[in-house]
Amino acid sequence: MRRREVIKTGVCATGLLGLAGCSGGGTGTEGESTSQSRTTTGGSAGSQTSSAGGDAIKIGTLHALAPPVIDAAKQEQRGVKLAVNRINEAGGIDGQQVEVIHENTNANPKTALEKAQRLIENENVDLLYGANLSPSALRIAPYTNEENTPYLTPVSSTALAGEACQQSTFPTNIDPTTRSKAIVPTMLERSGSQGWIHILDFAWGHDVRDGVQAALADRDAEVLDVTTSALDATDFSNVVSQISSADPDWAYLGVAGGALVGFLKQAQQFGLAEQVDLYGPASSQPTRQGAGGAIEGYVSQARFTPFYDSAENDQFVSSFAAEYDSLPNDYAKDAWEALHLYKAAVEEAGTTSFGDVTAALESVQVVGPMGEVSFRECDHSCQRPVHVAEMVASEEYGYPCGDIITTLDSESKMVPCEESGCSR
Amino acid sequence: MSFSNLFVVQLLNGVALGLLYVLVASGLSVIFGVSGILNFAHGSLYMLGAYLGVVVMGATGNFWLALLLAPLLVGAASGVIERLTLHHLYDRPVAYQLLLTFGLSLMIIEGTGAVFGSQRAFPTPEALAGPIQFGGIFYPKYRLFVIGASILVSIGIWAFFRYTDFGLVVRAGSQNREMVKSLGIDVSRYFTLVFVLGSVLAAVAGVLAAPLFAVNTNMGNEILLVSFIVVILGGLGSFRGSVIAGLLIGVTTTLGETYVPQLTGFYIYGILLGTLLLRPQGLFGQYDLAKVASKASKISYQRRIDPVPIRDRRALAAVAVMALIPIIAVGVGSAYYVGVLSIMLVWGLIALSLDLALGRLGLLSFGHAAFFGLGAYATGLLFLNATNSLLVALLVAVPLTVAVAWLVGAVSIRFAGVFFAMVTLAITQLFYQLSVTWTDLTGGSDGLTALPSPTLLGVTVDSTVVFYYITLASVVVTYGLVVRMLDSPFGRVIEAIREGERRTSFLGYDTSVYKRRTLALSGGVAGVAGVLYAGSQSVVTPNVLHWTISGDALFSVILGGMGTLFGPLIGGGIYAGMQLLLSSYIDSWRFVLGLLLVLTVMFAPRGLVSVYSKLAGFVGPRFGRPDGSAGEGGPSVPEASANASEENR
Repeated sequence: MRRREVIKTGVCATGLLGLAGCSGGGTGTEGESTSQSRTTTGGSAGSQTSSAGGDAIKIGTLHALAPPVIDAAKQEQRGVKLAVNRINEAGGIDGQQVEVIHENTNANPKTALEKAQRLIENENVDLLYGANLSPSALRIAPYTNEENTPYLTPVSSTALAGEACQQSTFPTNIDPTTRSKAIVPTMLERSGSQGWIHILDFAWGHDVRDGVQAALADRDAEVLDVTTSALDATDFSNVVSQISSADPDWAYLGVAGGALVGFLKQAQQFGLAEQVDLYGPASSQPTRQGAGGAIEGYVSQARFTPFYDSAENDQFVSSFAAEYDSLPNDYAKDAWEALHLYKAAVEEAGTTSFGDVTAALESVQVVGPMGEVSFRECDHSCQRPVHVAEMVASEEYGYPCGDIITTLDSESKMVPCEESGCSR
Repeated sequence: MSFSNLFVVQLLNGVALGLLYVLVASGLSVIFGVSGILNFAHGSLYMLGAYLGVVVMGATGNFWLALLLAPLLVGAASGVIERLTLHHLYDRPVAYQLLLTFGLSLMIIEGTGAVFGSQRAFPTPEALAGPIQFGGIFYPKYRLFVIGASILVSIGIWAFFRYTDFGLVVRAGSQNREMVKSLGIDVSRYFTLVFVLGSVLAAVAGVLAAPLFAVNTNMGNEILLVSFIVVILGGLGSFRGSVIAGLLIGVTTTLGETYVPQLTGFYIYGILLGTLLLRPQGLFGQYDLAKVASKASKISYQRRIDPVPIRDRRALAAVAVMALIPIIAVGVGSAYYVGVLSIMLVWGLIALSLDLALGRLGLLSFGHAAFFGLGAYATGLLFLNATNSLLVALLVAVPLTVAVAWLVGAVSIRFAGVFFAMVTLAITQLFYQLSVTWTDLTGGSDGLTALPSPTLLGVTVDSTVVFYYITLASVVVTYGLVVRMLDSPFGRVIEAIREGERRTSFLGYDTSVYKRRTLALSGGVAGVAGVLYAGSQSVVTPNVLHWTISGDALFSVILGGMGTLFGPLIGGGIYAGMQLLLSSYIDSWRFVLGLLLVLTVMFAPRGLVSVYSKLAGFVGPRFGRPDGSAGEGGPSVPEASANASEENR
């Protein structure tokens, strides 16, 4: 199996200078972002509508407006609104204007399903997007299939493109198993062969562990131990001490969210970060914001950085900055990208009917802010570049962002179609 | 690092964690010891301390100033909160106080998030950054500081209560409030001061914890649960007990997770359960458990509101309206609201099941999430592995939840009040942990996915409307059975136990048997709700076993009207519908929900049924029951009060 690796360095530093204008004063492509036909609500509450009137395409979005991801989810909502405004300004989707209805999942799987039901059964939306937690997405996916409604989700659960795959469902991020497989070669090259794996005891953590172990299987590497913390753990001092005592070359963390923030803070206090290189698939904006300086040096996949050097990213970041006077985050980028994927699929299909649109989604390719995105036909796994990045300080954000070390393609790291477990 | 050095480091880790628990728990313990209130807002005050610490740090760059100012600000805020709310509720049953503080907690968390953001960074103070070496050990300076600061604060609290007049009054008040009152001391003033002091301690812990953990608006939830456990484990009101229990939990979990990692996640609840079963009053509890328990659990209603029999014309009219709704909803082109109604009915059933234990028997249970969740998981597993017949699911899941509830009763029925609440909470969390950990059976955190549609008598039920009618029929039958069972000699014994357990036992009844049976019945009703829930959803996740389901049910019971059975049924439905509605239109909907909780507890303690009975009394007796019980007017606040008559005899 061949893999394509593109070495990129110094993107974060270059980008920092390049962005100074657009984040500060809303310059750049400000003219483009002037709204013409939108009637946005201005606030960010759920069940709000940005509409274009007429025979519009209706998109329902689900946002986890609950602590601790509420701020990130509000950015996601902004990403949706921005994408809809831009699409409508450019003539809509295949000539039809787009109307969007936002709903709040409360970061609760039960509520997420209930809100999905409202959007589909009551609002008759043509597309469902969102629900940024894997238990929520796993609940919604089979329902959308029953209701013949396409569902795009930023959730990166391995199961969504595996045994829980559905014809309706397209995860727009790479699953943690594939992501981990992509990070491992860089980790071994940079840090050495001896390591430690620590995960949280839940499905996502298990996927990460399996991905790393699979990637290490045919390589000259030794895992000293695999340790596990409870899903709701906050104190990791015992694990940090164990890793410090064993003194491996690297530690791979299947830990996310507030738990990762706590782990990194405690690792910094123990001096572990200076002793052992830390890697992991998770580095979302709330995590970087919460960890602050403690995440610097940690290497992960950069889902998004506003400093990535591409014309599409420049356009997205400057539009967002002009509209909201702030930098977009991962969630905003995901939303922007998903809506453009849907646009491409409907235009390819020439209709919004379920069968045609899902078939089109299996074949379209869109160049998003962080590179080309598409879906594998057999299981709808997301195919996009994996940007392996080291977290470095960023004055513009006020908290660290990813400085890309290497970019790889995800296709070569995915499990073969016949082994994915998807049998839809 | 050698084994012995690593052991010492892990011991220090456990001590640092344990002392942090001690700081939070000692504030909780002091408040409980004096006022008898189990303060669910304590975790949010800990979180507020951390946030205000961030703000002071941001403004001044000085950690020490943050450590001083943030707790003072939290103390001032908590004083105002206590005077406006809790101060008026000290004579109410535990359930009301608990719910009020839960509402306050929601308001504080949402308010903090709205003002300061849901996530903040809090770096380690520069002077305390990095590790220090002693012997062959490197240990973080900041953790050593936390250990030292916690010990100092703990000694300070102990000395304060031991050697000051204030401490003397507080200690006396915690042992016998009436005696202190009779000496001419205004105890209520001390309640406020103790609440402020407890909150200051929570905030100190919050600032100390901020450089260790993620600072977000959820940070208080986890430590609150552990702190409750520390307080109960140590012995209610025992400061020494809290210190020992905090250290025991901190050290046991740290060493346990290091050397026996297979039990990770089970240690805390296992320790609590084990200790209470062996020593019910906790490690250092000095009191007569039976006396404290009976005092804490008694609920006596000044005004009876009897359950409405299912054959009553009002009940029949309500059922008829419910039966007509889908026809209208489908007529206007939306089956969605029919699905929402199904969920509301299921939620009503959960509230009804809790009311059986709490309203009819005085048992403040947090175990109902376990009964509900087990019903849902049993159904999910049956659907996936054996049959998707709804009747078979009911026949399997309901006896299972009855059996589990009976067993829970067998080990915990000797407790009451907050003791019973904590033991059942520990059992619920053990089930929750099991559902997350036992991936092969439960599907782990993702739960049981892709459940097939249920069948009834061989016909697949894949229509929302049909399932709604099944749910409605199940609710009607269950409610009718429950009301019928309670309108019997069995029901009258239950009522007698709630009003006075000792008197009932003097009459020759084995009260424990009746309590166990009622809890089993209650568990069965929650099981029915679980079956219906799983039948209407395509997935069952660990959330259904989380203790917060019990918290929601508690609010539903009080919102509807505790002890009336039909009130909680309505309250549960309204609560579920309200959550969906509020969250659709308001960002900070939890703040609104918290405010509603607070207002309900303070101004409508008998819930919605009292509104109805007042209206009925106003309109005329012809709308009331023949005996006039539901149509009576009369005062509504306070209508349910802690009945201390029995133990005062």
